[in-house]
Amino acid sequence: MIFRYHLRFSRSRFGVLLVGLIGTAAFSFGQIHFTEVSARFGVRGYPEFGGQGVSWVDVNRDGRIDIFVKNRGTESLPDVPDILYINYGDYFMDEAGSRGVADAYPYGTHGAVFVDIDGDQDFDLFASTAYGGVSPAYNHLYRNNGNGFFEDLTSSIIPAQTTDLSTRGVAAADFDGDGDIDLYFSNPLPDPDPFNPFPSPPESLPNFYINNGNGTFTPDFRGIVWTGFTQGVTTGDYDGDGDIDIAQAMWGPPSTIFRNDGGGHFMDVGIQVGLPAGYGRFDNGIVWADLDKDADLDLAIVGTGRIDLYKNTAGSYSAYQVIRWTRPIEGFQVSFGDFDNDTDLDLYLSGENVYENEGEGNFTLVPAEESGLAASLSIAEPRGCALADFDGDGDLDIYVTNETGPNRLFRNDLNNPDWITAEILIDTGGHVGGIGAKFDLYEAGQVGVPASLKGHREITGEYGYLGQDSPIVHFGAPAAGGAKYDLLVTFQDGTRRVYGGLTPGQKVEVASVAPPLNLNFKKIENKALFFRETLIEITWEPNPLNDDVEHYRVYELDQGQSLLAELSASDFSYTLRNIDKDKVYRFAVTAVDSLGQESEPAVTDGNAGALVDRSRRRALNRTLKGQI
Amino acid sequence: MRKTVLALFLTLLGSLSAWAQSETRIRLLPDEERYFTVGLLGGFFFVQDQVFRELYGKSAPFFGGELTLRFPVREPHGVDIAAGVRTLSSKGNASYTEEDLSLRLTNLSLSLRYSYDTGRFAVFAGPGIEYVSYKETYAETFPIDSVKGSRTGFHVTGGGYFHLTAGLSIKAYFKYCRVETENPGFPVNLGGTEWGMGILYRFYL
Repeated sequence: MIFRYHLRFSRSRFGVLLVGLIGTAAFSFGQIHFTEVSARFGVRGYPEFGGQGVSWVDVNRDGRIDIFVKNRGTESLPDVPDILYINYGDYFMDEAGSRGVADAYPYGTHGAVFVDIDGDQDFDLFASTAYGGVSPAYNHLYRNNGNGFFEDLTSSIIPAQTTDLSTRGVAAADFDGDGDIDLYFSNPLPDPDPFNPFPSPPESLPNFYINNGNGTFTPDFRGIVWTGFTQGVTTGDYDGDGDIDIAQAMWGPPSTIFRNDGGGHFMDVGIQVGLPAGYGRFDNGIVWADLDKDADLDLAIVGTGRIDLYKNTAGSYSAYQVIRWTRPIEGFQVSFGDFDNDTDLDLYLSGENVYENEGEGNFTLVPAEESGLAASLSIAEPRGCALADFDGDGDLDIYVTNETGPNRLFRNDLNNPDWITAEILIDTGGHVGGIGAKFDLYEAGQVGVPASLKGHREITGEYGYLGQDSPIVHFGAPAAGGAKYDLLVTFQDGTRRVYGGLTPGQKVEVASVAPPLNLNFKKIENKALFFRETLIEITWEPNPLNDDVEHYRVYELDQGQSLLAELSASDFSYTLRNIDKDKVYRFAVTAVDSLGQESEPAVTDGNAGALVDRSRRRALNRTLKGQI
Repeated sequence: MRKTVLALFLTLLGSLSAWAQSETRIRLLPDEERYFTVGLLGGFFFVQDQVFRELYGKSAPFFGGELTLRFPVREPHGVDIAAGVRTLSSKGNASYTEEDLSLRLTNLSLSLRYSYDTGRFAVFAGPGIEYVSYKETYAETFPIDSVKGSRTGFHVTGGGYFHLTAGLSIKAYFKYCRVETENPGFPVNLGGTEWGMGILYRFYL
């Protein structure tokens, strides 16, 4: 009897184990599956209302991706602060108030984009205001002080806002190609009628803040005529001409594309490039992504209960698939990410489900019982969503906002090593994040070969409907057979960098200027008969990724950093004379290119090893007095 | 410095030639005479300090002069009191940076010697005190311009004279001196062995 009992017990456990093993095996072989973890991480937002959009961004540059939730108020409760969930690894904490980005307007925020406005390698915030009957309703700019605390600089850098605004989607990019970040915002008027399909007449209103390059902005009209109520906005180089174009989803007039002429002036080319001309749709989200791995931006427009997918062929669009769903939701946003790390971009519709890319941009619904997204299907009023690998396990997770209930965080359970990520630490304009940059992942040794392209990404700010993905680009990169990959990064100014021989499971830190390699230093005793000095010789090697280094900067890190020297590009050592031989020194060396962009520092570890009593004779390539 | 040594050497050769042509005499110097000599010296100083050897080489030439007062005790025995000065300068390079270094050492010495003088030749030996003045000068790129100072030590010396005439002698000697200093903050050994030759002219008192 006892034996039988144990046998039965063991069989039961074995069954559980078997199911677990099968499940684990299924995930590890690339099946899309998510688990809802918003309560566990404390990121549900307000319980009954608020969520409009979301940005994934590492505001405090601690390596963990934080969440900014864009909230709006209601007639009965207008004052709903935005939420900034700081990621502490095991949990998130809302610190929007203490960090200065809770809100500045009672009816809250719709569009908001994090971008390095001032080129100091942190993410600043451009947050829109949706007019709710209270004046003034201005857009706001918050400058990140470097540690994730923000300062409201709206009045000083965006002067002459005299009109209340009803902004929805916003965009940020270097639209005029002058190296700094400009801003675009939709609905530059106080109270447009969203249901009027034929606003008359169209209005040429200033809807750009053009960056003057000196910390100030000039409101300007750049050709994007206000013709009707605008929802989501996105940016990208759809025609491959190197400048940043704009697409926006419209209520009434057709959603469209505005082509940039290269100088930051735009022309509506929606009909010209093949988008529908009909009025009367209510589109909420618009997304550019390379769905068929041919290195150009295909298009998805969502709203009115459908997703329309358009394939890009040499800058012209042709509709090729329509996705509909049965839930009574309008459809606000789609996000494209490689959820199963198989190299092609899958689709998530906020408040609905995941659709798997069959390889050529055709999508097939993954049933909720497989995808684990049943909780997504219960979201009453889904709005914006965005993707990020918030837990750093190499797969893309999803955050979805809900206008009338709690938001949701879905953790991807894939956990396989088939991924490569890349983050731009500094681009050629000096900005972190690298808005406007393009990433192309190829099989190793096959850069430029179309058949070997494994993925194409472009860094954008807000897209879809008020969503902003983490600027850390994610690629599925199967490791089977010991596969390796090359990553081609093209900055907006055309500068290219190739990171070769990448192994799946690797994160690439991209910079327009890469730091020098193999930084070391030694303490050496230099002797005369009656004088002994300890000198420090710092040495480094050039980084082969750099082809435009003009000089190196040497810093001493000691309660801050102090510049010791600026050396020419042909110098790979620097010597400090007559130093305290017992003091612990730390040094950093950066590379600076011809545009003045400075790389991330290469930093010594402070251990110079034993004092070297080096006898003659090794010439210095530099003597030291008067070099600083 | 090398020219000085060469001149002394040539002078010495000339003197030997003059002596060879003169009438051979067994004894040149008068008995029981006190005399006073003035001489010119040159030679090489072999330094003990390892760092010195590394920076400046194992030896350095010098030149100098010497005054000697001889007191006969019972011929051929006598006592000499000698005062000398010697200077050497050398150029070298710093151990790592290879910047130019320049060193000047000036020695003042005072010796009390026993001497044995046969009238044709003499040998001597004895101790003495040594005063060394030093100055090391550095290249412009060096953290400091120069270091200078002085130090006192002792020496022992020995050698011989060969009398060419009643008034002229040549001399060969060695001297070991020991002078150490820690003034720079670390020990420096300024001592070493000096090998030299010279020519002396004698005045009888």
